[in-house]
Amino acid sequence: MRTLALLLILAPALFSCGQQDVRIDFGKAECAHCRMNVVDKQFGAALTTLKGRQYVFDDISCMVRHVGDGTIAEDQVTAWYVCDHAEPGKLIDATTAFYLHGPAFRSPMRGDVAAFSSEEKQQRAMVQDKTEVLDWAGVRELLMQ
Amino acid sequence: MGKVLAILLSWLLLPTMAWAGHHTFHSGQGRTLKDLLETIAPGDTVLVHGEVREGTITIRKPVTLIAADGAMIDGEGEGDVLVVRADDVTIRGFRIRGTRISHMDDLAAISVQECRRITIADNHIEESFFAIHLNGAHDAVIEGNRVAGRPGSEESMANGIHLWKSSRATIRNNHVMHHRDGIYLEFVSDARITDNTVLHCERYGLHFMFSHGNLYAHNHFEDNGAGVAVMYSRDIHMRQNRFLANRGASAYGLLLKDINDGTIENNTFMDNTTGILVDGCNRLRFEDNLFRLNGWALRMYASSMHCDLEGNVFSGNTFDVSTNGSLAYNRMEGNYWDRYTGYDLDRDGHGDVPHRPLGFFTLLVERMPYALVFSRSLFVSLLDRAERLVPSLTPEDLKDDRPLMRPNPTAGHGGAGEHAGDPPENEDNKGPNAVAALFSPFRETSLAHG
Repeated sequence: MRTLALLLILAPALFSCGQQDVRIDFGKAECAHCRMNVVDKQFGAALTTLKGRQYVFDDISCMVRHVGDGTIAEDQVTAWYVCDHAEPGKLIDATTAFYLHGPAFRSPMRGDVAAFSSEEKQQRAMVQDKTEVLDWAGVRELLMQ
Repeated sequence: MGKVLAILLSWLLLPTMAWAGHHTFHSGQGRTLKDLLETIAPGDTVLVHGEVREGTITIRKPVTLIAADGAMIDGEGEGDVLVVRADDVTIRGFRIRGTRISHMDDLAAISVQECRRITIADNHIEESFFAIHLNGAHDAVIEGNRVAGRPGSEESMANGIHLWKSSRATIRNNHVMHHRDGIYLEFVSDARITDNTVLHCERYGLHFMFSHGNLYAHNHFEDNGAGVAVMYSRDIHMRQNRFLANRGASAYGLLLKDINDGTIENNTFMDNTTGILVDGCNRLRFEDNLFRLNGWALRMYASSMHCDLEGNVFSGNTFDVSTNGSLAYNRMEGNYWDRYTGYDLDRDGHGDVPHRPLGFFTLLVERMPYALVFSRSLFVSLLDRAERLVPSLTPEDLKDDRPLMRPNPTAGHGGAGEHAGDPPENEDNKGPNAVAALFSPFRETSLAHG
């Protein structure tokens, strides 16, 4: 009985070890790159490193540049996340997301790139002629110019 | 004589009065305000009575809209409420509400698109997505408006007063609450932002992005996510503002990021987690500011160069100056530090031995933030004293050679913020005694680490 009680008490502690879910504390978090408060749920981004640290950004461009200029080494990054523009606040895998770039997407740091979890959402958000369709590699190339 | 003058004047004015037509509009009497705006001549004035509910109203000619007592314009969630697309439009005294909330469009209670000399005055804008949105507007005057977002849902609100690619704007005497940024400027030049009060905003009270050559003075920023952020701009002048109670790990009274050639004069920083954060800035002048009861008064990153600190007052802060590097090429001289323990034998008002504001513990915390739990412990104060006698970690050249013996009476506003929006001349009357009185009770009990 006692061991069971002990197990019950210890179990949550054991489960909380290891990699935590990535999440952005909107309104309180500070962008690791530009130091702005992260409030815009449509453009937030985050990454995790080998050491298990999480970095959050207020704009996809901040994340790309933070790694691009070597502040975090590329080989240290274990996962890239971006906010789904169509579902504000929801983090999705950046490497497989669908992107749009254009003046319709006014992101906090003027990266003006929006991410979508599906091609369908991406197509639905194509409202202006000047909007450019990109994938993750294209986004990184564009934002590092 | 007076009568003759009056007659003469009325003769002079008569043609202009006859020229500009006056109209009165009563809502709910068949005709819509939209119809009236189509028929009137440019330069006319409309006095609006009652509650106008006509969705989005677009103004395409230079007219003056004035609200009679309690007149309201409600967009009823269609989109923007008022859209201005003509020069010389004035909108005065309305209650305005009912924008739609959209993540794709910048919808505003008053949206100004590509025009000049717009006046937006004395309006009361409630629970709008953007309250006032200027896009390519020049010589605009935004004055005496009260802007309030919805409390508790600031994150779904956009900015209160938002300027984009605009120049020579005057933003004066406005009161903004509960928005994302209170006042936001992007690609804006030659703006004058004075006597505004910004409270309870999600992100910043005032936010500059890529905006050069602007002035903000006598503003009051309290309890925002952070007070003011000036980013990627040059020639910004900041005078006699109050930055109060901006608290939190990423909250700053004033965030300066990649700024060149600015001045920060006579501002008050009080009760903030960090008074000023300086990152990547060059040639800034910090003069006569008051830093009181902050966690960190001034955090300067080593990427900043050629900054001058003079005549500032540091009092009751947990840390006065902190840095992650050496801060070579920056100069501090003639500031008042309440931790200064030197003497003034020649009685010239300046201490005879230099003051090194960067303590050992400050550097330790900069490297190991969690060391903060040892703050004010006996061991830390011993280490701090030892370091002061035999410096080993603290940078040798970071020092004030002429520290003031008494606080500079002209530093800050001389007050703690209960007079938000007071004209500056009131401040001058208080004189040196007010400042001295403010400090005297704290001198003995200041939160120094030794």
